[in-house]
Amino acid sequence: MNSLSQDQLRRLAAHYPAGAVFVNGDQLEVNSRFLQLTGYASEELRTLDDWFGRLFGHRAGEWRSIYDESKLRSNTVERILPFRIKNGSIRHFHVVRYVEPGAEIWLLHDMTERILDEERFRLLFRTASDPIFLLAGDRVIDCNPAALSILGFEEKEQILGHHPAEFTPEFQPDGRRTAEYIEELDRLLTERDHYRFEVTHRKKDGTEFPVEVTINAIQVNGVRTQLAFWHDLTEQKQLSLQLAQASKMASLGEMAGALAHEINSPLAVIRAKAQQVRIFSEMDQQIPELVLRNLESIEKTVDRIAAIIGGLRSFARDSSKDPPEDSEAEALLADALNLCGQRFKHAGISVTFESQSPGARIFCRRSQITQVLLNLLNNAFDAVKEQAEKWVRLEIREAGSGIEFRVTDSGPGIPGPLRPKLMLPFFTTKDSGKGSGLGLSASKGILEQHSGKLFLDESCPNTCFIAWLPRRTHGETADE
Amino acid sequence: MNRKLAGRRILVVDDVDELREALAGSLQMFGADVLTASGAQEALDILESSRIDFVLSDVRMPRGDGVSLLRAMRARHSSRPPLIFMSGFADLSLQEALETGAIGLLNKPFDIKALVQVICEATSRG
Repeated sequence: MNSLSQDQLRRLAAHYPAGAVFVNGDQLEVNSRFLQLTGYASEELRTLDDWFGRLFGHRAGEWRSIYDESKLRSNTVERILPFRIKNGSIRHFHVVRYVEPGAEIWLLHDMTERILDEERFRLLFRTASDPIFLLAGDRVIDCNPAALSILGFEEKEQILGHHPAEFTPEFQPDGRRTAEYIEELDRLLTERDHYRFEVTHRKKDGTEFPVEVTINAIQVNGVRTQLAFWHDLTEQKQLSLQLAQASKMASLGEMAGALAHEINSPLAVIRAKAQQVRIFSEMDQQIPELVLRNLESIEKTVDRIAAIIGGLRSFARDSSKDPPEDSEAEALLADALNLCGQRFKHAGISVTFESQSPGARIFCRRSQITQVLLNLLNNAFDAVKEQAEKWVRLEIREAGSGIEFRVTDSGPGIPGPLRPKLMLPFFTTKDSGKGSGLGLSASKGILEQHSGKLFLDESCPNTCFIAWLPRRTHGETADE
Repeated sequence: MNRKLAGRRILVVDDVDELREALAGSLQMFGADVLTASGAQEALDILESSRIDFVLSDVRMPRGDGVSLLRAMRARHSSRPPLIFMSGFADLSLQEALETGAIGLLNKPFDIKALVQVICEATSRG
């Protein structure tokens, strides 16, 4: 490139659309655009002394010596400098110093808005509660603190340079291989600049969590860069599953109520008629023994049907606001068994029951505790149904200031690494569609509301879940 | 013959014919005089024209439910005769039954002897 003459440089500075200064030795010719931007008059910026004195305030000396030093090198220099303008405020200018033998010009672009924008963006990036990743190619080149914290890392370096797919479990909840899913997404992303999808990621400690990812592809200096915004869906999913479960239970409850109503009237008829014959027999010794035995059996069967239907009460309505009542521990277990006992029988699973504290009572929302026991029984059922040896052992024991319900099954046990995850929402080892992964976490929630707890007996060679509830305490008695 | 309910006139109100008939049969065995109605209006007509000592009424019925029957009875005839509800399934709680002025709530199916006992107590009091 041919060098520019002094005159050309002077004219360039004068007509430059942004700020510009033609520097001739110690003398400055500041263009009108810069004067306009800073509010100074041309007489106020005639010399280098004026320039540094006015624009840099108390740091004038420091910047002047930096400038003098750079003068020794005649190459082009650019940097961003803060200028104090006439009204006292600071504006940031991108300064390019272009040097020709004997003269130089400075080109001055006001970057204040852009820098503020960048600062705002940086602040947004830093403080956003949702994780944000910046990817170039398919590697993470930057991420915000929320991204570190959701993945459970302490240092950015643990994430930078990796593909986000490295922070995923092998399989997605729908059973798809994560690698295949990501490949498919990557293909879609080459065609589109904006894409939104859901994927399950994995924290450093192995915990899985669902995320909604929004990707915006942008060009930065000719490089295709992606901004990925994550939104943690854990709570939302939990809530919507709970809602779905609640509405399922509500409609099941309505149905159970209607059905129970329909069945109980004919049962009352059978009960009344059988009892009539029995009362009659008490007055008349002529009735054969066989008839009496059959009558007794009819009455017992009616009572049993009524008990099964009574168990449906726990589904018939939202019980979470019921007042707690004084309940016999054995009766709670019997309620649960009434609802699922036949299933165990049909599957050839032997169920044994033993109480080390007969007559023990607890103060609880009955139908909720029945539900917890039913959940544990159903888990036991699923664990043993395909085993050669099929049994479930139920025990009621005194433990400290409360009562323990122990549900032990002959299943293969729960592998050590899975144990810490058992009570997490959505964690399930059952086949897809079989388990919501909410049974244990919901049960745990119910027990905690009752000041109780749910845990796995790790010392048991089989699988043994323990639901512990405090015995009823003073001031909370049902009959008060 | 056990005639614990001799001289008592009992009104059984239920929309299910067989249950009405079965309950009437059982109560008659204890010596009661039993009238039946299939709904609230029919029951009120009987109460208007006959002396009734005790009412046993279903809660949920297509032709006038048990609660409105009880309200209408109390509006016309003060506190007598006593009434007990029988419920198919969680129609109302015992507490709600007591609040509407019934003397109790029986969940179907129930023990006739227990019912007889309740009727004896309720009708001997005054």
